[in-house]
Amino acid sequence: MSLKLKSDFTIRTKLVLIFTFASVIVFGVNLYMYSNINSDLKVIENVYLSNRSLNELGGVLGEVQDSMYEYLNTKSSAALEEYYRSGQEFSSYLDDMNGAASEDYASLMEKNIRNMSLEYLEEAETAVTAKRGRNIEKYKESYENATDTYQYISTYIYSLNNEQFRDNSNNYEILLVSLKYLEIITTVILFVITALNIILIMFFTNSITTPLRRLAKAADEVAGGNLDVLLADTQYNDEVGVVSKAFNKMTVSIRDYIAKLKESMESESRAKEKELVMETHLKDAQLKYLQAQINPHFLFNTLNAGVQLAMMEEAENTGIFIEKMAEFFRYNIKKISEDASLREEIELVESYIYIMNVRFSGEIDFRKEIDESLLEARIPSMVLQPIVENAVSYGIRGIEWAGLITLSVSSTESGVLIRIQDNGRGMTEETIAKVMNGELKKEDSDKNSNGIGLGNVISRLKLYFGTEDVFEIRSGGTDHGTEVLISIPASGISGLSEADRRIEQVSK
Amino acid sequence: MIKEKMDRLKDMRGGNLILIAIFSSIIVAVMITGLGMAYYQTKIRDMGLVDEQTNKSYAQHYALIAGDDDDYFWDSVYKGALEKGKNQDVYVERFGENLPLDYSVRELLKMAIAARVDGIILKAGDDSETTALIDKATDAGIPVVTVLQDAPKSKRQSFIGVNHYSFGKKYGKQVLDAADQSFSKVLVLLDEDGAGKNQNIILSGIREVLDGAKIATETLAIDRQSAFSSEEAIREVIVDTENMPDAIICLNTVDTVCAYQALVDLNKVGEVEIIGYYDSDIVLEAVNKGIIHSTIAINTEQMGSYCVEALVQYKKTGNVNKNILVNSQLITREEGRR
Repeated sequence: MSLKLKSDFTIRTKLVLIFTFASVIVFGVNLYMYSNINSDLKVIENVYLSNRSLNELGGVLGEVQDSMYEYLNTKSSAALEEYYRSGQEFSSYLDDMNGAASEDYASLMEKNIRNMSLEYLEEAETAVTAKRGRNIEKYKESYENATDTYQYISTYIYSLNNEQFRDNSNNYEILLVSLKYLEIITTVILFVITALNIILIMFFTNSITTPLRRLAKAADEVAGGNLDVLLADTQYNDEVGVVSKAFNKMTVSIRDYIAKLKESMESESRAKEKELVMETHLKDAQLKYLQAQINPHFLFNTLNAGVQLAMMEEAENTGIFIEKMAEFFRYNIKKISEDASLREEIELVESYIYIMNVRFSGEIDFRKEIDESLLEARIPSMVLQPIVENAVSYGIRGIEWAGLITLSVSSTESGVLIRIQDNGRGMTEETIAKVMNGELKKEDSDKNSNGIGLGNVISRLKLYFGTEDVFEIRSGGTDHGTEVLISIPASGISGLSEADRRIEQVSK
Repeated sequence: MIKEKMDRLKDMRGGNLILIAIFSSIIVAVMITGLGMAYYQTKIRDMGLVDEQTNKSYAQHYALIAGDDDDYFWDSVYKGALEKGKNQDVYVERFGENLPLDYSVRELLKMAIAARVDGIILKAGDDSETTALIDKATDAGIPVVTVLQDAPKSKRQSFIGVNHYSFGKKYGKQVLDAADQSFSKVLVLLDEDGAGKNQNIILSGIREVLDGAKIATETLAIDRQSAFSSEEAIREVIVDTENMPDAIICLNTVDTVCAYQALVDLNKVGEVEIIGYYDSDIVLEAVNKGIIHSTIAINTEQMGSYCVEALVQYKKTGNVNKNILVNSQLITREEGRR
């Protein structure tokens, strides 16, 4: 039987097989031994049978002799009849006897008995015939011859009987001893085979219980919380094999389900957190903005009236100034809650610088180095202007030398780099760290501010692009100017930002 | 993962182990049963229960009839005849051996005739009754060869014997060989009952030699009919110190053994030389020890073999040599050692 075949057996079949196998072996051994004993017994029985038939032969021979004598003595027809009958019977016995010259003394004696008997029958027949023919001389002689032969035959039969009986007695003794031997040998054989069977059964039951134990152990582990248990694939397709496979499937699916659940919970909480932060910042910015303005529509209308008035009085510079102011505030109102293109942001910075230059009579030298192709990149609104405002307020205001602010937009390997550089007072490392960590609170009462601090800007940039290193401040130290770098990742250049996408996903 | 793999390997090994266990236990079971039974069979065979009935059959069945005297001699003749016969698809039966009664040669001859054997080897007697029975057998188509003792008047097909005269001369020569100056008298042990003719020829052979050496030859006839007479007679001879012979010549094995035993028992070794007959183990041993001077043996196996050959030849051709002589051989101490 092949391994494959065996593996497909169920436990029931296996058990039946084991017990059948064990029984067959024991049965076979017993059968073999009984056949041995039987063959030995047959040897004895054969000899006893021959003994019996010899006795019968002797009996019939006696009948022939007696009836012949009786006939010769009395010439009675009854005796003659008896003579013929017994002679016939005697002949029939002789037919079964050995007639060949054999090495075996018993067979040889049988042959001699047979031949002498034939001789005897002939002689007896001669005697009987002579008696009928009244040949007195002849029948007397034949009778004497027959009687001699009769005696020889009787001696032979007696002798052969004796020999066989002696042999039988010997054989009987030997058989008794041999039966003792057989008993011992049989016991030993059965003992060994029983031991073998027990070992075999242990093997078999082990093959059944080992997977069961393994299954129980695995179940214990699962109960203890370890879902990473995977049962070894048993090669048995029996009941335990089926259960093992089902167990494996169960643990795998439980594990998958838990993993999925965990993932969806995590992403949900992440999104919620982000939304909350975003909202907080927006609220903060809006609050600041609302504090900073009073009825902007009224302000625009007023400013527009101012532009028209300046036109009528042909005061062109005043008109442009007021117009820029109006643009600046409009942008503020419109854009605070949305993102904007880089172009819009830069326009806002330009308006701001113009206003500032009018205010502070052209103190600020503002230069742009811009890659026009990058101007459509989207960034959160109200980012560049607060930075420039910072550069003006804390960088170049009040310095002895001519202030210079440079805005450059260039493409890098990883996206777009926006750089705002001033040649003002510069910042200490300590201050930079404080700003980056949002610890430096801007004074709300600053009258030159539109109300949005750097901390707010940094937070919004980080949220918008979903990365931490979007904003960087560098400074050569006190009086060596400051440089602010905004690195927009390539994925944030066009279309929706990553953060937007994530937020959208969550809200769906 | 590693543990799982190990488990899987273990499982597979477990499967193979079961297979191995099954096969090896079948093999062991068969082996131990076979071994046990083989052991049992040899045990039984050793004890002789399983009758090894070879039951080899032969084409012919000859009867060897010799009476019951001098078993050593006739055992050896029978052995020779049996071996020769087996080569010729003939089984020779030592007729009457298994019978509970001691039948005479004549009665055994009658039985053999009644048993319609294919041939008879007979130690004949010279009497008329035996002659008549031999004739009856040959008339019934059963060839008869006589051996050692002939029935010359019968219709027997052949006689296998020894040249008794030269046999006697050999005895005489051995006496001379053993003799010293003081040798004057030699006793020859004879049978009282008959077979007289052969005896007389042997005796004349002995006398022929000893007369020339001026040694007197006396004879003592032993009555074989009464049991144990041989031993008693020899003892008497040796006890009688005055008339003790210088040498005793024994013409058969029984006499030889009796003489030897008497010498040893009566402490007469060396005073009387024994010229013995036949080479049975006891006699050979005595020759080796120097108690018996020498023995003269008929090549008995050859004798038996010749008997069978004669019968086979007669059966085949209807003709066979009427007289066949068998060699005799001398065994002295030196030869006995060999």
